[in-house]
Amino acid sequence: MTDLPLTDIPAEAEAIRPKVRALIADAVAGRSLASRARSWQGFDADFSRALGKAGLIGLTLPPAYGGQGMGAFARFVVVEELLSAGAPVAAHWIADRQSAPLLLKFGTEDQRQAHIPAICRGERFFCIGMSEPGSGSDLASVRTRAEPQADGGWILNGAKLWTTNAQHAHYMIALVRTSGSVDDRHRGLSQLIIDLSSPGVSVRPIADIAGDEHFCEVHFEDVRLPADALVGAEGDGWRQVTAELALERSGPERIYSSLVLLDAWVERLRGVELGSAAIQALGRLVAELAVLRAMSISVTGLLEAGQSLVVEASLIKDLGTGFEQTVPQLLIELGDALPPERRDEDYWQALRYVTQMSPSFSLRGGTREILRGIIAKGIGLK
Amino acid sequence: MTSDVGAMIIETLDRMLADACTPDQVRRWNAGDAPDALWDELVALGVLHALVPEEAGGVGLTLSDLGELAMLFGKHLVPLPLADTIAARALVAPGGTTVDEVPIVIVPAAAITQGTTLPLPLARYARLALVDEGDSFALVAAAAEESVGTAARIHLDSGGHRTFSGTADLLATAAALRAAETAGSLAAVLAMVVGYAGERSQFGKPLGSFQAIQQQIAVLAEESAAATMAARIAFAGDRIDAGRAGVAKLRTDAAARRGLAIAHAVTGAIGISEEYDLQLHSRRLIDARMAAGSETYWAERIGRARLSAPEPLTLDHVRTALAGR
Ligand SMILES: Cc1cc2nc3c(=O)[nH]c(=O)nc-3n(C[C@H](O)[C@H](O)[C@H](O)COP(=O)(O)OP(=O)(O)OC[C@H]3O[C@@H](n4cnc5c(N)ncnc54)[C@H](O)[C@@H]3O)c2cc1C
Repeated sequence: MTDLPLTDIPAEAEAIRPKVRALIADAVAGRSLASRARSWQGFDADFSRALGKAGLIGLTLPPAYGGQGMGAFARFVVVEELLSAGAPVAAHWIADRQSAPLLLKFGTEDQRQAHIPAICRGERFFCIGMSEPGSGSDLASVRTRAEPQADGGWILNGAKLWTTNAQHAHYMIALVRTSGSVDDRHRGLSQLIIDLSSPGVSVRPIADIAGDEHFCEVHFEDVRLPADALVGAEGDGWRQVTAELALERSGPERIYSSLVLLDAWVERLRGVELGSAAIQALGRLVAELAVLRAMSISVTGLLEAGQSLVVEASLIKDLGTGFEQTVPQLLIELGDALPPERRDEDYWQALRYVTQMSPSFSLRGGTREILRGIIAKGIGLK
Repeated sequence: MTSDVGAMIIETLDRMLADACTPDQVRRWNAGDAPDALWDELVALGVLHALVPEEAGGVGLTLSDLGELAMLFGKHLVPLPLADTIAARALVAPGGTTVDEVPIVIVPAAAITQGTTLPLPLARYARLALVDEGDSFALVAAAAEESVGTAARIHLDSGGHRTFSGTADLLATAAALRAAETAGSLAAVLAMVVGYAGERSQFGKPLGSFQAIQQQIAVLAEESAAATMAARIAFAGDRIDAGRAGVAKLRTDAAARRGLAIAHAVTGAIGISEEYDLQLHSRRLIDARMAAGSETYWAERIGRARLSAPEPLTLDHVRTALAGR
């Protein structure tokens, strides 16, 4: 394991916090607690455009592509501000976090120019097509297939499942088989950009446990894709996806999903005669958050310095999502010690919502068991 | 972050302690052989004055260096209140009085009962104790009365009492030091358990190839990483405060509680035998958990601090009161 040094957020990254906070305050004012508790599931295209206009999307991307050319810490600050306020970031979230960096790293110059500036403006939304009906944790078993055509293009058939925001997104970056068979596992997989308005693409949202619709099933029937749909090299999809997942795992979004709820609870406790159980539970949560945040900042610094930290990212995600899940469970366990006049429906809606959704925190982005498997391998168990 | 000098000293000490603190030697110290030779070696290296400013004849290391040193002492099972001694000497140094180069244990107020303390970790071979007198400190003679391993109740003799001006939260200081030793010890436990899982076979294959075992050891690794970061938080800034030290003690205690359970599960019966080295760490980890404020004690204080802090956002409370600097 890599030693994680205690790291400070540099002053120049801290300096953008007030601006971000002011912008977010306007955007979330008047939103219900339950809506803010949706955290990065909340979709609001106007808000994403406003963030883009303010230069808060694509913070780490080069100015030549419409980004801000800032460091990873600046992004960390923006992300933690967005999440802790419960801003509706879903529209641009995946494009900003994964798709644009992926295109920057593996895409052609044309692909970068075609997408990254629009992503930075908060106008172009992406989704990620990895999971399929038969492929969840075992991602290398994907069956969706793109057949190469004589003109260099592709014909795509198959289906993706649980694709977050496919109903709103303009494009999907999908992991599909481009050569060989399912038995070839990691070999023969590639990443393709799919214009979701192409003929043959159908998207159906799936209602979740709380009644929301964010993830979807997406079917492809003889969808024609141009030659330049391929991202990176044919057959390199697995390697690219692995790099992408490391970006996804150690950030604040794996720690902060229940913070809006936690803060609402703290406000409710103020000025009330409390038993020790609630105070101690709060103390434990605050301590856990302090440690997780320090770990996440540390990994941000090391990733920026170019280190590869698959194990560390995995362990932060496992601990972080554990924390996110503990918050609503504890709040339910402790119950409401407040007098009737202090009870409010909005808090209960939020608590119910976060509790219902909390199992997904340790599923999306790689399940707990898969992460622990990665950690075990990383520390030398075979 | 450690200073450059700090990193150098840590490297030297890491090697020196690895040679000096062999498991057999640690067993002898636990059984009552005084670690005099080790102590002399540490004195000769100047480690005791690590935190004393260079102008005052010390090494001038930073507070974060002290955290790294204490982790090292935990890792190598140093049988002395060495981190306490370094911290105590830094606290009394401004007084200018010479203090004998003997082991000093820090006694948090709550541990005193009529001259004899509650059991304190690493106190067995202490000769002096640093006690809190409200707006000053005092160094008093200390002698072990009743020992279990390196932990002991000590009798404080105020005959040789010397007062030093200054204030510091001794409970928080002890909590921070125990937290760092725990983090260092847990990292050593993780290495030991990974090694064991690779060597021990059942059903024809190494334990470490069973997924159930892998998943548990992965959790131990997570707890170890969290403990290390928690300990570092206590030594951020230029003064140990109760907020950060409490976070560290609470989180490292929880890590020791969960981590040790896994370590013992994986090592089976031999893990709780005297013969196997895991117990050397387990016993220290349990001593530390029983000292300097329990998980519940610190949870209550951290919870109250959050409730009385005006910030609506817990993020802001963490950023200002409980972060790196
Ligand atoms: C809210 C949400 C949003 C999502 N968004 C997206 C998205 O945008 N794009 C996308 O591609 N996917 C998305 N997913 C899908 C997500 O990536 C998968 O849920 C995840 O990879 C697990 O796959 P599965 O659900 O099929 O579970 P399975 O893989 O069937 O796993 C079920 C259980 O078995 C365990 N298990 C599986 N294999 C092993 C093994 N080898 N050893 C031990 N245990 C094992 C798992 O850990 C889990 O506990 C989303 C999921 C959620 C919940």
